[in-house]
Amino acid sequence: MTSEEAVAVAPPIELTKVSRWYGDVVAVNDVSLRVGGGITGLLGPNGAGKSTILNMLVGLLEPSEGEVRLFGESARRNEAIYKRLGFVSEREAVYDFLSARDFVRAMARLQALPDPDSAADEAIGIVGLREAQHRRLGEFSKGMRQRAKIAAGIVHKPDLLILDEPFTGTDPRQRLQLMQVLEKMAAGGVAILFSSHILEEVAQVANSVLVLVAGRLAASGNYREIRKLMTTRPHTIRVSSSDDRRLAAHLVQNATVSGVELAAERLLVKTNDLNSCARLLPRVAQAEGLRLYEVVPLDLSLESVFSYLVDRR
Amino acid sequence: MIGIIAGITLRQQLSTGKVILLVLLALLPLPVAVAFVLANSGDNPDEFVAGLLDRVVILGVLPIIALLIGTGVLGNDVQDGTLSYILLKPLKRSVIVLSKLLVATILTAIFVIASTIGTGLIMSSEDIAPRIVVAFVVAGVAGSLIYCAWFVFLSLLTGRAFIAGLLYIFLWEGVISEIFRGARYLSVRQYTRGIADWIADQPEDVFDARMGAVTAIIAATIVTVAATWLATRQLENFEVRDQSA
Repeated sequence: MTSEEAVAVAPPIELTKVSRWYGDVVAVNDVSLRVGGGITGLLGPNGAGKSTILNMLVGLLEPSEGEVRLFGESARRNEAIYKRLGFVSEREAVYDFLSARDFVRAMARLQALPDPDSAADEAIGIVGLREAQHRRLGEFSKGMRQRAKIAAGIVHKPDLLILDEPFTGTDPRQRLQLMQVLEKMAAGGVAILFSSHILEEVAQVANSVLVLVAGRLAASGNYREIRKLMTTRPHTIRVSSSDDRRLAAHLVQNATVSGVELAAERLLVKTNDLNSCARLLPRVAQAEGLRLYEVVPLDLSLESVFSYLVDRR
Repeated sequence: MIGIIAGITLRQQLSTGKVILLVLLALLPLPVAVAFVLANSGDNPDEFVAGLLDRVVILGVLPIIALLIGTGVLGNDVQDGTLSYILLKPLKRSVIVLSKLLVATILTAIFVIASTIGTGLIMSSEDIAPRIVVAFVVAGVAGSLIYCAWFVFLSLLTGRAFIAGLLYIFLWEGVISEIFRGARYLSVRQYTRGIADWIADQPEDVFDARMGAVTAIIAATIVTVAATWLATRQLENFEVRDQSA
């Protein structure tokens, strides 16, 4: 295989043992991954290293170690790659004094497109900004700015689109619209990678998921598999009832409950199946004539879910 | 491509409140010239206008305006994140730097020329030698280019380019290069004065720069080319400063 052929068949994104640190702080730690076609979500809590990875991908940061490749090439000091790559940054700044149309058209011209007007028209149409295209970006809401930024990122019809937290600050309707835009583009053959710290966003639109925690890749693959890992992990529920001891005695007889712990004026119930356990608790309480005062799952935060995934590896 | 980047940069610069400050700076020598005309003191007007353009425009107005504009044309993009819109394009980094430098130089030169010609017009009633004003206009344009090249590079080198630039103007050029002869070879002020002196061609008692024209032009060319090349290299190796992971 020649080097040109190798580049031609290379995946849109490939990271090999990539680390990045700032002084003593390790932002990304030995991450290897591949992203193919479709929509991929890069999921992780704030500070997990998502933006650092995306910035390394688009050539705005140098990895401290390892190799970052887009279509088999490095984006760092390689301007030609930007003909195939679109990037939508998390930062809100745009040229406030330009209209949305002038902004997208300027980006088309910087890409040296043969017909920047038509390209701008098409991109503005895709993100649904046609009616507002002559208004200044400074007058736009956050969601509209986001759509204008996406239009600027796709105006040259890239093969790969990378978006950093594209849904931040958008309302549910705008979010849905943006998701539809991404789905439409993916259906047209564009590989899309976007970052998010919200599980539901990723669940709604991504075919595959990369989970990043504390700079490390905690899980990757199909969304459903990862979701299953997340829901079947051990959970702890804090319960307060009219008779904790009696409730505990009945709960341990059920296979859904993996353990109970009686502490001062509260009962900690451990389970691997949160949903079944949530149904079981009121059923047992009712059958035994007990009153439930409090049922609180203790570890539902995204961070705890992610920590579990990291510990699992 | 230069036209697109320059167009956006120009609108960026003019859309800020900075313009008012630039206009006020450019107006600085005018009241002094008016005062001279009204005072009718009998002093040599050629000597006075050369001194005024040298001490107020070349030493003050030019470097401060160049600092405000030069550190802003790329520095503001770095700070607010809009740099990615032009950086992540299939463009040579030299094209980006030259576009930004072009806008910075033209804008700075406009204010400096206006300041110089305005002073000259007020002083014209005193029958001054027009050559002096022409010399400071040309030197002002040259100085705009050299200062801006230097400040554009500084803005890519450090996030505190404005402070670094102020230190260069007031400490290096204002103090060190006045005390140590060798430091003058790294002073844009001295290059600009050298060019002005060469074109003005006035007796020493009217205006005398401490650097010869040939030295000034060679040093100015080296500094401008070096700063532009270094800025291009800096942009090629640019990394986003936001370290939030």
